[in-house]
Amino acid sequence: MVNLILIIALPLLAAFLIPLFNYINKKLPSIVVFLTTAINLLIIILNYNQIILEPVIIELGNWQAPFAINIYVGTLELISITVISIISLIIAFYNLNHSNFSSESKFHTLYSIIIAGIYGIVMTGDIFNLFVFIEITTVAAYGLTTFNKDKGYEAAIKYIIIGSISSVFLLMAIGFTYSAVGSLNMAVIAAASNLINPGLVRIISLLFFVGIAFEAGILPLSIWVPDVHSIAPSAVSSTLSGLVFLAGITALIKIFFNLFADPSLYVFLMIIGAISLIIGELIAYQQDDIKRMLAYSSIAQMSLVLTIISVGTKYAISGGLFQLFNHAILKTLLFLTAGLMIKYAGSRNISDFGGIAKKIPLIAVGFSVGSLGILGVPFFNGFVSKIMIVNGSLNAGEYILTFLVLFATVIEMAYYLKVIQTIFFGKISINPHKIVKSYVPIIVLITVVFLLGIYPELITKPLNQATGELLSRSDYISNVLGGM
Amino acid sequence: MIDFLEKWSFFGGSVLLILIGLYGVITRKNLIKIFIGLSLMDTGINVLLVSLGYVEGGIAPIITSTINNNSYNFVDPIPQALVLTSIVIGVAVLALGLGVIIKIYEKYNTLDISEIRGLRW
Repeated sequence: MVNLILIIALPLLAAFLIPLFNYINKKLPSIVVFLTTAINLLIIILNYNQIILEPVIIELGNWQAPFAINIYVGTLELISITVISIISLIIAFYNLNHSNFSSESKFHTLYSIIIAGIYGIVMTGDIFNLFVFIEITTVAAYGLTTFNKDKGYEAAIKYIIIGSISSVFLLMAIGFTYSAVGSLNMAVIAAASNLINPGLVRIISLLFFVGIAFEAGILPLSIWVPDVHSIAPSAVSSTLSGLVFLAGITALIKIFFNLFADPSLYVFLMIIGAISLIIGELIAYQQDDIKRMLAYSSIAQMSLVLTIISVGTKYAISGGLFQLFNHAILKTLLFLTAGLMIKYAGSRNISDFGGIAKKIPLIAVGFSVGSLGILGVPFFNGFVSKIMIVNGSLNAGEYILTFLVLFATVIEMAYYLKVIQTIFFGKISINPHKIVKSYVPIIVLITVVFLLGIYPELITKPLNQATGELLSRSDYISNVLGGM
Repeated sequence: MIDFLEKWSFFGGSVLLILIGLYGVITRKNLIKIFIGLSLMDTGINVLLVSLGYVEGGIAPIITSTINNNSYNFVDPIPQALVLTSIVIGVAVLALGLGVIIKIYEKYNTLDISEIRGLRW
């Protein structure tokens, strides 16, 4: 077995060696990033069979459980890091050919750091480390946003202001938790959470929600999302939308299911999520800028995941998690293809993409596959998760929620099909700016979409196991603390 | 009264600092003033964290040849370690933010957020 801490350490090491490699050869940085992401995938595959049997806990510095800063990899974390490593590998491959930025090595340094931070958010078992990794991820993301010379700085300053305010609330939550429990270890907090005053638990959870929801794309705190996602380079938009949101939602799930399992909080999450879902879809419908549309659609999807997970039944949670991972794969595909179409047409407006499918068929097909997957058409991966979501909410007796999910899908259908209609049947009105080529990442992503659509057992079986682990907190506590 | 102040001044003062900072961030139009507000919020949260680990009459948690067992009244060292990390992160974000502000000023020749296009809220 290879030590799992390497998958955080390797990208960090690569990030700080990249300036040296850049000094040797300008082509090396992108290759180094590609190799580190590939090695990470390899490490996870080597460990897969062992983690699926029982969770792996790594205690740093050889201290014992309550004092150690630990890394906890259960089934949920395992699936998350597998998806993250696959997607980051694909984006790194895309960057090999497409990163024509003026300061390339800086871009690759920040990309490595953001990948390390995302792995850290998912795997850490210590709430202060969670804060540090969230800061690593967001600071790298601030930097990556500015790579667009057009409006990058304005989007970045908005992101920095909202991110700093949220991080203050997150730190406050951590401080109150520490003063109530006397430890920063997640398992110790989970074991002690029944002893804390329930009012304080509610305040702390609310502060945690404010601190992390900005990273997870839930609406009142995510007004930065459309600006940053639409302005950043498309490799960055897909990383932010696919991976950072995934990590944020995973952290929220860990806080609300492992740390403080208070059912009265779930109603609050459900209402916030449902409002954010409908508003996100309605704003996405009005957009003409394709990347803004995708960004609002991301907000809506993340809210859908949060809402459905807060129903709290086993079936609903696995449906929500499945949708979370599907969304990561599909949004990566959508942002990459949308970026290529923008490059080809030289415009961001959907109305300028008329008949683009005849010129660049593979990219148009990739975009359509992504859209149909989000809508949940049969044989695409979104179909199975949508069925699980609708079934899960019906079985739990949440009929209003079922109605809202279906209503949101109808709005989604309206704006995604509008784009597909324009790119396939619209009047050709473009004079191409440059020829764009990117076959491998798109074909790989399309294959993954169909693979999960036709053989959903590949992911539903580990997902059911992950849900079981989430719902049995005592196992989590005894795993980390060793039956204390 | 003095007892009350002694007990709550750290806590109330730090929360007050955070609220003053938040008020500044929300109401000011000047980017530099917004960042002063953010910086106040950071300071407030650091004071709050330190005050959570404060022990009445405690001494610094350092083991020396004379202070070498648990009978001494130490203050809690973990919040102080957290504050060090948080200060470093705060400074990094502040520096990055000011760097971006310089770039925005070069482009628009103003720091007023209502006059900067592409920054509509």
